[in-house]
Amino acid sequence: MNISCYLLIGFVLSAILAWRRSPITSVLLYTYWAILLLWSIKVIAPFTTVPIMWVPSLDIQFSYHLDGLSKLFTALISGIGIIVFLFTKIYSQADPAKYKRLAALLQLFAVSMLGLVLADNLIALFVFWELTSISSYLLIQFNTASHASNQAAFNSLFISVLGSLVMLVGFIELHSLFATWEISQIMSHSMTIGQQQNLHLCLWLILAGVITKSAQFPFYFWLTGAMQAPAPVSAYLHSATMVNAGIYLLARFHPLFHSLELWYCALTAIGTITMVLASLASLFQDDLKAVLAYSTVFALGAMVYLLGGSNAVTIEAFSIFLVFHAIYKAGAFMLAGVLEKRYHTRELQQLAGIGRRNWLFALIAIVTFGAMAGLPPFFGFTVKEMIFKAKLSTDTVSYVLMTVSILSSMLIAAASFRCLFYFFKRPAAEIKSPSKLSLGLVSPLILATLIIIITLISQDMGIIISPTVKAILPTSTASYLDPNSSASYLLSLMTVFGGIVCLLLYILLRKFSKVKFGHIPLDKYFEASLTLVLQLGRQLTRLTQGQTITNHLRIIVSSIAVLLLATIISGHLIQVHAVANHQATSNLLICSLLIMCSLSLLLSCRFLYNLISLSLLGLGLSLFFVTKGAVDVAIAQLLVEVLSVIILLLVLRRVDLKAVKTNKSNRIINGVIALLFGMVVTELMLATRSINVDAKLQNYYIDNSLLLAHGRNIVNVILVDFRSLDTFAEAIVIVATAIGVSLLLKQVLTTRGQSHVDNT
Amino acid sequence: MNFVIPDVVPAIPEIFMLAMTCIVLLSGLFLQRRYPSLPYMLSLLALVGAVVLTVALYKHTTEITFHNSYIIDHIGSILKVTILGTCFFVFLYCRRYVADRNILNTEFYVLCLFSVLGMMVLVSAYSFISLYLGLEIFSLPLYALIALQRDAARSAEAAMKYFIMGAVASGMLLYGLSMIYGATKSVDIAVVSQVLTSVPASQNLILVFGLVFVVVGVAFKLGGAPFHMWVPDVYEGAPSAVTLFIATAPKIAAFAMAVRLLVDMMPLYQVEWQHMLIVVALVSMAIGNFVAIVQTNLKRMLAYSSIAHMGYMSLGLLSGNAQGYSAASFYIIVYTIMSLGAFGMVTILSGKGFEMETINDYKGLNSRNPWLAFIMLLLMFSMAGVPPIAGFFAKLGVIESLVEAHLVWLAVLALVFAIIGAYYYLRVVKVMYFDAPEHQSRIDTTSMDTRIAISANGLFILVLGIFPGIIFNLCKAAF
Repeated sequence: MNISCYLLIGFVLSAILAWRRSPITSVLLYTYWAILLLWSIKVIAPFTTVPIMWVPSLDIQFSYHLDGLSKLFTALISGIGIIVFLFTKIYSQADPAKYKRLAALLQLFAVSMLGLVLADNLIALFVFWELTSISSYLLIQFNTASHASNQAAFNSLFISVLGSLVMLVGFIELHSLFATWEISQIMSHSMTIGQQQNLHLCLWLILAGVITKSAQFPFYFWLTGAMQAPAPVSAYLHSATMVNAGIYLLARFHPLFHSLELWYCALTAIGTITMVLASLASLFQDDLKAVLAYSTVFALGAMVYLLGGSNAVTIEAFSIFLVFHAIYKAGAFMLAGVLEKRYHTRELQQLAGIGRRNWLFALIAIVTFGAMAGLPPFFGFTVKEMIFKAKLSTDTVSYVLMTVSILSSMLIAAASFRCLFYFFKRPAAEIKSPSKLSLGLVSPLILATLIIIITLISQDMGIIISPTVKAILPTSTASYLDPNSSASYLLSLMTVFGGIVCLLLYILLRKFSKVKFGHIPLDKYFEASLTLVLQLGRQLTRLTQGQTITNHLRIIVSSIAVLLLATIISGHLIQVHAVANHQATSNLLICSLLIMCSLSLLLSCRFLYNLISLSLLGLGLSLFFVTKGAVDVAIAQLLVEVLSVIILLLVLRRVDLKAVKTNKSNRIINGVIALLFGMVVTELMLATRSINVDAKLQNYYIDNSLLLAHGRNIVNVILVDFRSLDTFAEAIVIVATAIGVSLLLKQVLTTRGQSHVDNT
Repeated sequence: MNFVIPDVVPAIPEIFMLAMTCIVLLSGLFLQRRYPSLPYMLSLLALVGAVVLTVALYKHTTEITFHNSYIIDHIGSILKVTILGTCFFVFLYCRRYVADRNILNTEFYVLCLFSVLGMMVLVSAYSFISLYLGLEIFSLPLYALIALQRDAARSAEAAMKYFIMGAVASGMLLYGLSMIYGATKSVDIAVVSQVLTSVPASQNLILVFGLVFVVVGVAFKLGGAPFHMWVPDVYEGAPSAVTLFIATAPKIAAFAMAVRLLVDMMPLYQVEWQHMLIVVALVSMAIGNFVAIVQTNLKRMLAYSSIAHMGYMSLGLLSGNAQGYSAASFYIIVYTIMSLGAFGMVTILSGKGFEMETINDYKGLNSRNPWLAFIMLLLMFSMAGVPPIAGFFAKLGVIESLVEAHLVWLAVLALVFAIIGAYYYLRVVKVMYFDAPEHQSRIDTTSMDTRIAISANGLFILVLGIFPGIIFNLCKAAF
């Protein structure tokens, strides 16, 4: 079966789940994911990967990249997915309608995530990426009634879409560099120096997508907000999916970018900051889910940090941590969900002592939180050890970075110990006794068992992760390394004890103050900046909307002037032509008259004065024409002036002139705009002088008007003789219009007369 | 002087359109009493006939006639069919609205048809004269259309504003064209582009000045900032049916004008108009998106969104490569279909005596009419550019061409604005799906044919998202 079809079946299945719930759909669902799980661990091989064309003209197709990396992610998505679906079913047995929606959305999300990790075409990957954003939005705001979950869902959508769109530009830039959308082809491409430089840009843009999706500093607040979601959603989103999408992309592009200096610097910096802040914040939370959310952020920071490195040990540590984190975090979130369901609280203080009441709780709590802290008997300890080893193995061991990361590991250990401490503390008051053993514990129990199994077979983990390492680092030859370096062993032990010390310090600190460290209200900043955008929108609206036409014209004229000015400045130097200067004195007189008129027009606020200045201006212009010998133009100008003044005065009879006043500041703005526009137009006029007018037609008329048409007035001859047909047609148009208008007027007048008669 | 009868075959769709429009006018005058829906039916027939003729004349070669002033080519045919199809849907959506509101029935259709005729002429214009002719034929009926609801003060104000702004725009365009004519001494677009290759440097300035005015005129007609002020006022002030028409087909005509004047005529001045269009695009995206956020009236919000969309479309034009031009034409076609659906929804939901204009009117639409809410959801998602709906590929195309033209900074900025845009589209979706309705009644103002039409419209957006190649290939072949 083609894998595209299989994905399609997944989407259809989601629709079916939304439609009805029956044992058959459940069986279908589990079979669907079980097949994928078996396929990803190479038990069966039912899929073909022939690409399916989507948009041939853009080279967009559904093609798949199946290597160790995507198989590992598929295994996580399907494996954890099955357990989460199991958990969902038990979790919301009470409300079948809700279950239907939750299961359908989870399925939609899981299939999108699957498409994301399998796709080879960047655009297909992007589409799946956006689908995960949208479906996770729907999942997080599952409790539509709650304002907090609406806000958190909106934040998560906004942040991840913002990042993804920037990332899209990065993808397009990659496409323009390598002329292909296929990741596999991009990877196998040999690069020129120029491409190398452009890669930096791509990296920046893609990083934007990664750090938003994978909840790195400063965007991790969406993840901690997302704990508003129901427990199965948190368990899935925080462990194996969603947040891992960014990590997946980093790992996917590791071969392309890892040689860049920027790659190492950026990932190390982002990872470290995230780790430190998240681990600090995690210790100071009182909400169990918040502790877990911050510890997820910490883990993601650690993964980003590890991916910054490029030797086999680091990548190996990354892969193991990825798998292990997914398992224990899903378990821990499910545990939190069961507790919340039973005791209706997530506050650690109120959950005190639950570990004493129920041995199953106790077991799962010890295993999952122990794994999170890296307690020695569990595999978590080994993972920590490997991480430290990886950090030690880089060529340039920075001791500052080393110290910082150990410190943050201690803090996370302290946070887990704190949870455990509360679970086994003697309760202050008797809590209501849980009636019966919850079925919801089955899923976390499976995960806890899985942790124990992994711990037992830890020596064989290499087989599972070696294809992944091979996919990220094709040149690596090192096999799974036995983490028996004494330095890293010591450091891991140190972490455990450091964790206990930190916890004691914390308790001591809490005695004296209530200060919460490490909690930066990033969500508040984000919301504030959103409000700022809204404010900006309001201001812009006030500036541009609902204005008079005068204002519109003002904006238009000034923008045209600015555009013209910009073209003059950018390259087209001002061409100054010497203006012929024959009648200097008369020109000077007329010009000063014109300038005075314009000034008074500008400065006077009285409408009548303005009118007088305007007509004086027209007079001056016609004088100007007279001095140039164009008497007919001057007469025409004069007539127009007189006519317009008369019409204006007729109109003004009905207007209260005192009301027509404009304020000073508007006048100044108008003056500036007019000056600007005038300057530009002057320049334009000067430029037109450079055009050589073709005198052929002109000379033809001058030579022939007397000869052929026997007329001395050339304008008349042109109108009635040379272009008589045009004139005739024009006359016809005017007559036709006049007839039409007169008919209309007649009708209007008669109807009005009738209504007048009716009224009287 | 010998007069050669030009080849009229390329203009047969326009001639047919003109004849049919006159027939519709006459039928409205003499036969409407007896057959009330005759003008409507004849108008639809005119559009269908024109589409058939345009498609029949569609060739793979370019043909120029009427003394080099009329061109029939790939892109022209595509745009004409889109204009005609859009108008067909406009009529389907409007019928009931127009009948309910005592808007002069025949006049509405006739004015729209005349305007469409103007658009067709404009799309095919290949000289300044025919171009301006087309522009005026398409603009003048619009002024009358807006004022068709004569007793509404809002409409009258909108018409007045649009008329003044339109006149200014036409003036600017003429001014610019006359400057270019002065420098090149020709009105034929083909000749002008030839002459431009050998124009002396001293006339560079006047040409660039002419270009500025041409760009201003084009931006006016497209409704791009900072020449956009008429857009929100007109969209809000005009009756919804008229807004629906103004918001769709004229955009394509204006785009055709931009292609003829910038791409066909002045490819040599590409650097200059690229800079101007960058300004227009940036300001449009900024103003369109920021101001749309705070709008409470859906028509006004969509008006600002159209300004933003025109910004995105110009991104394709300004990238100055064939890929960009085809991306821009794909964008404008997709935008027209989306906007047709969105304004169509406003029109068909408005029943007798009430308008569905404010965003609050859409509260709980999902519970009142789930199917229409779903179509609206598709349209809003598409406008926001959510994959895999057509709007996404439209944006992808222009962004890709920008990157190709090494304008990555512009691409990133454009997408950041797109995020802000997504905010207000999603708000509509949120209102429809998550808010409680103010009226509990089911919406049944729509008739069967409009329901089918709006469904086809919305689903076409989805289909176009899944198979964008249908139109993308056509656009690609045109440049």
